[in-house]
Amino acid sequence: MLGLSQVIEMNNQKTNTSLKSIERKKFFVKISKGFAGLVLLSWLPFKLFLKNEKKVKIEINPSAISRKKEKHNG
Amino acid sequence: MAENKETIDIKTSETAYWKSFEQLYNDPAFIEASHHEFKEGTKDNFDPSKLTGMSRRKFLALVSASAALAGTGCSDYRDKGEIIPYTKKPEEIIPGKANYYATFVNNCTCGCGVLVKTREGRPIKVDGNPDHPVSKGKICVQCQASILGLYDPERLKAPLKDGEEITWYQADSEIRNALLNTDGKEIAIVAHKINSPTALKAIEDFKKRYVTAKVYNYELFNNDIRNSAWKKCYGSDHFPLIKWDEAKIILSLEGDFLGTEDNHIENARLFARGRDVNNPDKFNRLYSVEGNMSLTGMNADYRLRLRPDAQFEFVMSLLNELGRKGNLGNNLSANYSLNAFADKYSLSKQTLNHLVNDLLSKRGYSILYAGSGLPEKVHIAVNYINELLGNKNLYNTNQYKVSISNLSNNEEWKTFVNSMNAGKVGVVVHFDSNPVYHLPVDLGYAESLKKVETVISLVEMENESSAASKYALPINHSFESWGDSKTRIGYYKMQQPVISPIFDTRQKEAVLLSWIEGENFEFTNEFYQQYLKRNWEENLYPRLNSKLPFNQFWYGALHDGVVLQNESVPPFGGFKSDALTDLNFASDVSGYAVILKKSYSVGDGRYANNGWLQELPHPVSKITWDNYAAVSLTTAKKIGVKSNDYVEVTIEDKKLKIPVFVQPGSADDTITIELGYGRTKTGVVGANVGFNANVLLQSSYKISPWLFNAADISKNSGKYLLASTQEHHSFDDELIKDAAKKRGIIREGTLEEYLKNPHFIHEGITHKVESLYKPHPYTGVKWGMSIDLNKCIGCGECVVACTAENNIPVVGKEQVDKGREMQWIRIDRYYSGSPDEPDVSTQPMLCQHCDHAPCENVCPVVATTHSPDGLNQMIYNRCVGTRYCSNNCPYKVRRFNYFNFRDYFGDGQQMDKLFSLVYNPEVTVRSRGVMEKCTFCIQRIMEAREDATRENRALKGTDVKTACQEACSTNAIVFGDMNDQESELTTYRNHELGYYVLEEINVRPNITYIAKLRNRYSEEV
Repeated sequence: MLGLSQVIEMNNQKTNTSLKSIERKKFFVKISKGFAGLVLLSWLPFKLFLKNEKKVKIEINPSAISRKKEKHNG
Repeated sequence: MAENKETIDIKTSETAYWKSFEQLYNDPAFIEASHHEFKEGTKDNFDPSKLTGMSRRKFLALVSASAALAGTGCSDYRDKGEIIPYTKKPEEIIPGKANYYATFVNNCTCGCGVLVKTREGRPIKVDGNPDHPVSKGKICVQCQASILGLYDPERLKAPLKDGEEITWYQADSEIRNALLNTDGKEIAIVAHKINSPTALKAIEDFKKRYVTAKVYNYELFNNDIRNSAWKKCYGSDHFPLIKWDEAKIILSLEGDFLGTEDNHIENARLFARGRDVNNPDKFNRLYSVEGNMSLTGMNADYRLRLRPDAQFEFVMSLLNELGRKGNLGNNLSANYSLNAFADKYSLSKQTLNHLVNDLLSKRGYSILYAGSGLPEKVHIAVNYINELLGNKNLYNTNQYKVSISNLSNNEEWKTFVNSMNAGKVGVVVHFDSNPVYHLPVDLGYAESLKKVETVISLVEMENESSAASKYALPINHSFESWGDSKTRIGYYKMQQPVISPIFDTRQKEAVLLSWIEGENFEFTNEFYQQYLKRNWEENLYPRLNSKLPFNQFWYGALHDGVVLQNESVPPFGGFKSDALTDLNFASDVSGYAVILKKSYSVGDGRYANNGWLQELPHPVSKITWDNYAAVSLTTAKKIGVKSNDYVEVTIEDKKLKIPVFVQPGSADDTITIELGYGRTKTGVVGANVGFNANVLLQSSYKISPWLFNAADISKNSGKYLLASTQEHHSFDDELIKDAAKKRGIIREGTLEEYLKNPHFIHEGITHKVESLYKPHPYTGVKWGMSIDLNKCIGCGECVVACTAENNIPVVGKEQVDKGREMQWIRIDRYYSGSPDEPDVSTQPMLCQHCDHAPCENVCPVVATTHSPDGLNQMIYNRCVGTRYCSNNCPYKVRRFNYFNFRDYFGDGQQMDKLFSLVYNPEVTVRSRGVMEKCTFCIQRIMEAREDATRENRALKGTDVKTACQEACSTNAIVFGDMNDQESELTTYRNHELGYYVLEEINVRPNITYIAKLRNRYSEEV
């Protein structure tokens, strides 16, 4: 059986080890790279491969005279 | 196809109706195919050995990677557009309500006036203008389909110089320089026939600025021969219009006045008035003498097949017989004998006897009509017979065609080409024309064009001529254009843009006018509008003696689409006997005869890139997406070919390799080919579709520009696939041989039979139609339709209208061949009798909206249901594509989306953002795996219902017109409320000639067919 002090020491050691393994710098680099990748992925492929389609704009000709469908009785 | 006709006749003696030779001759492949609902290959098992062999791990890895990529990459890339209300709402637009604009389509030869339906500024459907004196609300298939051209993704979007995009400023500047520095060389404008007085004025203004400018006009198909014959006979310029509705006897000689000739829409409407079962005493009788089965021949009461180069001999023999029997007193035809002619060409003497007696007994009410392709001497002889018989009564004295520009003759073209070759032409402007494709090759136009320094094409999309040009300048579509037109006395047509130009295009007349202006001229879209309005205000309006102030008159003219004018028809005068003195009586007949015809669908090729028209089955042969050489069965045997074999047609030194199609009813030794195909420079839809038979055209001809003889035809190696719909959706024919007759699908008789016994079509039909269920009470409106087979000419206008209204996709030739065409209406065409001289019956077949619909019972997901007003409905979202409904439909009118055809066909052209603007927003666009069928235009019913509710009144049957009904030029289709006892529909439903197709299976269809009556003499029954 381990004594209480031994358990506390082990736990402290474990905590110290795990804290060591997560390096703050590496973490932020990874996060930044991931974010940049995400941004690039969501933008670049469609910029590169999509056809450069112009927007089709529909405009009514203001000088045209609309009417009803039915036969004109005038 | 069997080889031996004698054995065939024994085998087929029991068959009354047949759709093709394969059916007639019990072809094993046809019989096998008729056992199956779907075409071969649809249910094939997959072969595991053909799988890629990819490991599960790799597959999952790829799927995961793809999903991850798609998840991140595709999260929000699509431009979903803006859905915002108008901040400044255009006055005339109410979201969800359609607006209509009266205008016309530039290339139409029927003189149609159209009404364009727009939704939120977007044109979506073209119908006839009811105010138009000719159209009266009906239009040709080309006008209906013209809207696809507006949204064609392959339209030119900006000016091109040697294929590279340039600005309009650069183009205008360089062209102005070229025009100003021609050193006295000719500037040629090559155009189709110009019918617009204002366009003519613009060209005249151009000619004033550039004095060496000359205009050349052409039309691949025209009426010049008929008109010149008329001028020789009567002195006036134009052959008159005919009052077809007053004719009792019509003899059509190689003429297709119901199908491809000018004015065929008006002709069909007037002709159908003489086919009204409610006025059986006024039935006309149509005789047709022709070399190839035409739409007119299909509808003839008596049809004789005759090679076209023998028509003159026939007319003279007929004249002789008429003179002999009717004491007409002519010596012109003394050397001819109708009897001997009948022997020579194996024509039915009984039919000829009827014809002669009819023409004599109905003097003044009979009309002989020669096709526009026949030589002048035939037209003169026909005019002479009409004169002798007093048939001038039937020439219309209220309406008359006029031409404000003439076509250039052969000599002018030859001189022009010589000038180009000699370097005397500095600039050529193709004014919305395509002479490189249309003009005879032996004229050498394309070659001589290379010697011209500056060639400019004003075109909507690239064509053969623009490809040979230095500049290709994009012009407006008809629906983006201003204009006017004068083709008849009594009125002008007005054109107005229903949408502003979608691309950087300009009106073609405005382009010419802008070259008159100086370098600093700033072009605006209103430029030509102002020019047009000014021309009307200064020149045309004063002549009309209108009491309205000009502005009021102008807006009224645009509103109506027509301006009526008080004009009278010039008097015809007496027949000039001088016209007869120059007739060449020598026989033309020799070798094989070749007829070059206008295509029913794509015209002279200008509509080649229109998928709706390419996929419209040919009204006679039912072939889509192609042209072919049509020959008779005897001729096919003589040259040793079957349908789909390649042949080589030779006229002098010109040769064409083309597939052959054995057409029942063709004259022996006669080859018929439709023009308008084989385009090389057009969009993805029309390029390299069919065969360019223009190569057979000749600048100098012996008989007529479209008729040749002494030709040769020989078998060539190889076969070609012609995709025909004529055997699609056939019954399992082996089980029920000759189902069309035995099961009463086609019921017909003669007028005499009907007059003797009005109920004759129901005699001998004893089946009882009982039901286990109590009939469902339809208390309100119950929708139904009647189709009068006496008026239906089988033209297919309803098919195109339905396609446009209901967002039906184009599937392409390959899929049509698999039986997967999507059109909701098919025009079933049946032959009966002998293959050489068959009778033809047509029957539009669409969803019958059965009360006891068998499709509804078998749908496992209740995707097809019945509405309280009698409609058989489809719920697309529920449909899982089991196709049980299609399997259980006795009429075979359901269509399945095997693919997302919009994406599948033509490089996904129909998925293009621009193309998708053509879709009707009230109709769901269906995708893969969904069944669809006719809805009786439910969207129109719902709109009428909403209108009625808003106006606080009951919905009436006459409030709704289906798209097919609206398009039918002969008014054969009537739609309405079956519960309204006063309605026109009820008159037809209760008519003695009314019947339901397959009524014995008790599905209780809601479409009534009115049995066809042939106006024949009783001894032939």
